[in-house]
Amino acid sequence: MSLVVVDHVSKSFGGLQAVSDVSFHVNEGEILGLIGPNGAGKTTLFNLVAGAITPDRGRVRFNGLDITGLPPYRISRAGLARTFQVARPFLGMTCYENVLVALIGRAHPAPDSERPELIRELLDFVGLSGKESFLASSLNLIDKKRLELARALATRPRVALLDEALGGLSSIEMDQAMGLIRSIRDKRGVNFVWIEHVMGAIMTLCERLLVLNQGMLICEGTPADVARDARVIEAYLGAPDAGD
Amino acid sequence: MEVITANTKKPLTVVGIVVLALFAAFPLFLGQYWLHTAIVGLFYVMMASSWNLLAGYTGQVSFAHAAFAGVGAYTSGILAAKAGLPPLLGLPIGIAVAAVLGLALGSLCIRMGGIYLSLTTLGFSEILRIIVTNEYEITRGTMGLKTPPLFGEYSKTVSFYVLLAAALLILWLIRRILNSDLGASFRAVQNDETAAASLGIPVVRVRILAFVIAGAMAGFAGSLYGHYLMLITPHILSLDLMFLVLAMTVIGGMGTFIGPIVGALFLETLSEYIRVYGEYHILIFGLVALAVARFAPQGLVGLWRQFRSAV
Ligand SMILES: Nc1ncnc2c1ncn2[C@@H]1O[C@H](COP(=O)(O)OP(=O)(O)OP(=O)(O)O)[C@@H](O)[C@H]1O
Ligand SMILES: [Mg+2]
Repeated sequence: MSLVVVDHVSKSFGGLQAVSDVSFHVNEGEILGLIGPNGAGKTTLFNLVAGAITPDRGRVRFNGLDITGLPPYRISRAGLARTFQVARPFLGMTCYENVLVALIGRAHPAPDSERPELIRELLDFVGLSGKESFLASSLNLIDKKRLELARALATRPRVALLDEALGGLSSIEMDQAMGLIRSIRDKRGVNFVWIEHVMGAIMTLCERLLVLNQGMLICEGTPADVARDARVIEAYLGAPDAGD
Repeated sequence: MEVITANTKKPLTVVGIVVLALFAAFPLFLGQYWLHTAIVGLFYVMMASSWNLLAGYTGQVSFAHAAFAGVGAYTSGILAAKAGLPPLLGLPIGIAVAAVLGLALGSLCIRMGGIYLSLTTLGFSEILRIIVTNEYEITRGTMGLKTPPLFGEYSKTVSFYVLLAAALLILWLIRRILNSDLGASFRAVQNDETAAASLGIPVVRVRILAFVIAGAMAGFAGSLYGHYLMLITPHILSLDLMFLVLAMTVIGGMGTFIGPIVGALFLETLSEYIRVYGEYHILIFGLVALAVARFAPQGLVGLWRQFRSAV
């Protein structure tokens, strides 16, 4: 069954067609990769699915529910979480409080008595053990991303949209993050749509990829198929005759 | 005090109780003049603390807080003076009217942040002041509206204890809110609305609720203050009073629980000493508040904490 169905969605900003007639779906149990050059419209597509912006045309369904035009908090409560390209933890709050907000935001907030345990478990899980009382502003880049991931997981999502989870990380940190994403899928049954510029990572972690270019979905398939596709190569390397 | 509070948190509660006991004993040894100052100080404690809940914890820097106090004061004042309604019944009506106006203004400001919200609330406040000043038949304009005391015969000592109990009630409520889920939502919204919404926090509802709660609290404080003064003038909803509340909060420590209490009592006492040099004190407080906001964003409380962690 498809958890997320995006149906002919378009969005323009002034004269710029940021997302143009895009359709795709997310299957149960998968990590779906979303790639494309800078400015291709990947983040805009996430914003459309998560409700941060409303599409000009097209519908978004989640778990059998039409979520087009719903406010972001309703979409989050329905079970669709997201992270941001530039991490946005609550800087003036501690790691503990950051995750707490997500427990409070649930459609049925977690009971008081379970919160400390839940929060500690989530922080441990993403590798922030012992940092409960640290202010988010004191964390380094990777820890901020970890915190954002813990917070997204605390909403208890069925699907999580990750916008460049690996950007700015060292290769060791990347391996850790990839292991983490895989174990979240396996242990917590969370499905992912994952935007990434680091090709090696996305090729190993995803069974299926979408390629976006200038707002249009130009290719969909296994990493091997995508890597061979002429339009994808063209999108990334410029016109084929450019090198002549 | 330094010695007691330096190490643990517990002595702070002890200090709080001692300060409160001392405060409660004021009528025993303070003259009428300073008792009046203490009562006005308590009014400002309520004003600054409730404004801080809105501005310091949700980031909505409203300039209409004095206006809400005015709404509370004039509602129960007019009901008592013109319709003979006992102030104790007018008081909850004043709170309700302020809350409804808070709902309206909060909804109006929902797509705004920063300076736009501040300007809109400032406009709202001035419009209300102009209406109150000009509707002479109802409000008696700058002449002031005579109102009866809250209950019984006028007594400064009774008024002091009423205001003290009211201030404690407001502070207790604010404390409860800050430690509740709503308080965490307030801070999340202040930190980052987009991120808060992505985690299921209904940002619009939370922001409006803050306006309603703060408005109701200001209405409560204003109504009590009006029945204490027994003469309500448009000064209560003036920007003068608003800026004083702002300066008290910022200088005491915005976004902290203790800050507005300290700021209100400190500046109110200080104004009594420097009033003799003319009515420039609000201007001076404003300038000091600007400097504090720039160099010590957590005000006196922040400086005190820095000092303590340094020793
Ligand atoms: N709110 C907005 N207003 C106007 N233009 C926008 C807005 N958001 C995105 N755009 C434009 O839409 C296009 C797509 O942007 P988007 O951020 O979706 O690209 P992206 O694929 O995520 O790129 P990157 O890999 O650099 O993150 C860009 O040209 C961008 O400037
Ligand atoms: Mg992007």
